[in-house]
Amino acid sequence: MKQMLEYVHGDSVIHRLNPLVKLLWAFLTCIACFISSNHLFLLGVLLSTVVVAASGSVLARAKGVYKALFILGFLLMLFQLLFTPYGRVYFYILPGVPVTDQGLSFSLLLMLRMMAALSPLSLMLMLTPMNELLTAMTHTLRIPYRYAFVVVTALRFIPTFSREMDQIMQAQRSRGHETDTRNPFKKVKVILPMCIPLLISSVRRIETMAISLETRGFNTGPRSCRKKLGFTRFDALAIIIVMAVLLLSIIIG
Amino acid sequence: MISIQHLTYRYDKKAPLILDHINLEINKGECVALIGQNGSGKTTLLKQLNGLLKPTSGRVTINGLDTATTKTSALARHIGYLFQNPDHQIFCNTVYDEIRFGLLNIQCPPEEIHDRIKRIAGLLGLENKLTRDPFTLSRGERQRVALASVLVLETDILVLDEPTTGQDYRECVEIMEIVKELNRKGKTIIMVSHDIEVVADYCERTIILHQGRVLEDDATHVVLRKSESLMLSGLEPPQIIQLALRFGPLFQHVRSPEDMAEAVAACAVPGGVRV
Amino acid sequence: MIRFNNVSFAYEGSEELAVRNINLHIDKGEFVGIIGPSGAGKSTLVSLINGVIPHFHRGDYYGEVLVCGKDTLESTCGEISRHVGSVFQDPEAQMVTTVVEDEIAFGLENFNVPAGEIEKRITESLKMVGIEHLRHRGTAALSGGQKQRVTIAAAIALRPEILVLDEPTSELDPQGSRQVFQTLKRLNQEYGMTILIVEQKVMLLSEFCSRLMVMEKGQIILDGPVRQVLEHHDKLLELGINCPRVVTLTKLLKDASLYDGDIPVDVDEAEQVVRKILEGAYDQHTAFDLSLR
Ligand SMILES: Nc1ncnc2c1ncn2[C@@H]1O[C@H](COP(=O)(O)OP(=O)(O)OP(=O)(O)O)[C@@H](O)[C@H]1O
Ligand SMILES: Nc1ncnc2c1ncn2[C@@H]1O[C@H](COP(=O)(O)OP(=O)(O)O)[C@@H](O)[C@H]1O
Ligand SMILES: [Mg+2]
Ligand SMILES: [Mg+2]
Repeated sequence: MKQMLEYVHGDSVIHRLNPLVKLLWAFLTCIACFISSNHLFLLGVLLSTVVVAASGSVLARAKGVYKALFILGFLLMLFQLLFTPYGRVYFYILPGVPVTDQGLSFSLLLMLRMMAALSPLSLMLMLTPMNELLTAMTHTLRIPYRYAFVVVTALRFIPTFSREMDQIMQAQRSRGHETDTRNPFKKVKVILPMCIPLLISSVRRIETMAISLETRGFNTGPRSCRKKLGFTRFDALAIIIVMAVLLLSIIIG
Repeated sequence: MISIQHLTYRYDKKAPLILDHINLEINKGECVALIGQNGSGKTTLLKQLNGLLKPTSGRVTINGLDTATTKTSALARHIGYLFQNPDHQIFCNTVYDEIRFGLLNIQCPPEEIHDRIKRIAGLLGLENKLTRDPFTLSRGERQRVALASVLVLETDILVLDEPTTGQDYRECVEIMEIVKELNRKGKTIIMVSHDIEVVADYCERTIILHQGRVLEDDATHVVLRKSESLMLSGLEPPQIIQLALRFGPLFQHVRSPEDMAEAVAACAVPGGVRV
Repeated sequence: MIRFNNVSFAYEGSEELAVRNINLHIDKGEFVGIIGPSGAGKSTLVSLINGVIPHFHRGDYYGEVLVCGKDTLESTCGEISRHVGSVFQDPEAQMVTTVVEDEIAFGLENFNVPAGEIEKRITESLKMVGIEHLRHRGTAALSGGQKQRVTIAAAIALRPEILVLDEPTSELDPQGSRQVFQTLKRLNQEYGMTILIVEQKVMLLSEFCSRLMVMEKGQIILDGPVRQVLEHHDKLLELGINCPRVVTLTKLLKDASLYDGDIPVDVDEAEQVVRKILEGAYDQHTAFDLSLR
């Protein structure tokens, strides 16, 4: 879980793309998935993200993401399936709770959409150095540095937060607290009381981070920037593909 | 007691091997030092012992329990684990609660709890810090809080990752005396330290880890003579030994400043006659 | 460069003064070591210099601290950071980015250092602390000592006029610690950087620093050139501070009235001392023999 959204260093074509292109890809793909209600289209998009993950050689990490999204999507699908009473009834799961063709089709769509729309976001985070994203936001998009920094740091806090949680759980289980139980109900019972220490320690982390930022001259004047971000043929190609996908989603609906 | 067979470990599928075919036996009542360069895999190895990390291949057993199939929370009854960074370990709002946490989990009788906390806090000089929020303590003090919360459980095996960081010399000696006393009472101790004097003074057996492999594993006084291995593990010989070495065979038996002073005096005044 | 006038500080919510009545003057180009038990107020002293107190920690603040002639109470932490670089005690808490090289570049970019120069400084400072091979690694997945090296590299890359370090080598292996001290010494000599370092390794402090301060219970109880402070051998032991073994040796030699010169601070100097004694003894010895004859 903790590694799901963290940048993985590499030198693939995807890594070398302009970060804004990757950002555009993540957002437009997400939008396209919500525009389209075509099972095949969504499946296609999902497969294309797998191709991206593979060419960025983060497939092993991405597996975790797909798995998590699948579980989430599956729960959503079940829910939807059970509460769609219209359409042709296949059979009754429980007395009065039918499984229908429309229910099946719609819930499947929901699951596919969920997976196809969210996986590009996490892939983008895995394949883009935060620093480049920051540079792109400040230099190309002209977002003031401090706001851009807040956004990027917020993204970064998701993995940090889960790492923190992992640490506390490790500390607790090494002193005999059963945070490593397999029983999901027990697990929830053990983890819930942890939320408060977790919150407190995260607030602390933000405080110490503020100290570190200030003592290293954050936001004290004009900034230089280490990397020049280029725009290559690959970037152009990527944009064209993304646009085409968006267009396709509008056409086929 | 602790048995490690053909243990290998990597953090990630494609990542390099961090532990490379480790074989170790540690018996009851031993006091073992684990030393090595930064990044040599010491912490990774220690985390295998109480199942915080599970072997990629090979087997680790503690009192006959396989760590791959036993939960860490169950192993906690046998092994106390001190984290390298106290902030990874401390999560309660007061020092008292922090020390108490483990006691509640091992079903310590309620009437004993208070006494045990008091006793360990007294030993580690924390008696007037019990109501403080650990995060407002200095780093060295936090280190002792973390140590107290582990020692209070009185487990058979203690795994200590750099227990004396952030302590001055006296505090360091005090902590090591406590640890040694536990060892005398039959507890098994495995600790990491970068302080060669601590290792020399308190541990009978020393293991050097280098790039994930066991480079040396022998009695401490034997290992500490192997200067090549020491260099590889980022250590330097103690100052007095370095000094003695500069004089060739003249001070070959010197171990401490006292030895050296005596030897110099003996050379300076041969035959015991002073002019 | 740094001046404390009667400074005391108590953290919010505690009545005890963490440091009390500190008067201190540090000149440009000094290399100062601070040592003392945990809880003595060493970190508090450091925080007073880099402006973390009073700008982040609240409490009762008495007296004034001047850094480069300016009262730290009146300038912001950011302004102070233009003169003072800091390494804190906990490496993890001060990482602000996810990749090692970004961590080094962060401060440099903030100070508007040109891109080419940034690359150079990253390479150089990583090399100075011996972690070139970690350049592209994620900061979260490093060992304790590796993290500590990253934070030191990030600070020295900035080449500040004043560098304060709070127990920067506590998790480093001995060779790594020595390497850090050698690097600091170089920066001190080449750039005239003023360095203030809190450390428990008295051996390294006496070998590399020009001035040593000993703190206990919020006060500076000994302060002076290294050799002078080390003369208080017994006092140091009483405070629980371990003297370098060569100093202990010299003390023993002095007690045996074999030597009465300056205190050696490292192995090289100790070697000279012992050689002198041996040679002296040889002369006397031969003289003795001659007189017999
Ligand atoms: N969570 C992690 N994910 C990936 N790699 C890691 C992780 N933790 C440590 N490593 C790497 O594994 C190697 C061994 O790390 P380990 O923490 O065991 O070292 P150590 O011997 O304890 O060092 P130190 O003396 O600095 O504490 C290092 O190269 C480190 O970068
Ligand atoms: N944030 C804080 N809030 C309250 N008290 C603190 C805080 N930080 C340190 N102290 C207290 O101030 C004293 C000096 O601490 P510190 O300067 O960190 O010591 P040292 O660095 O010498 O180990 C200690 O008694 C410590 O408990
Ligand atoms: Mg370690
Ligand atoms: Mg401190």
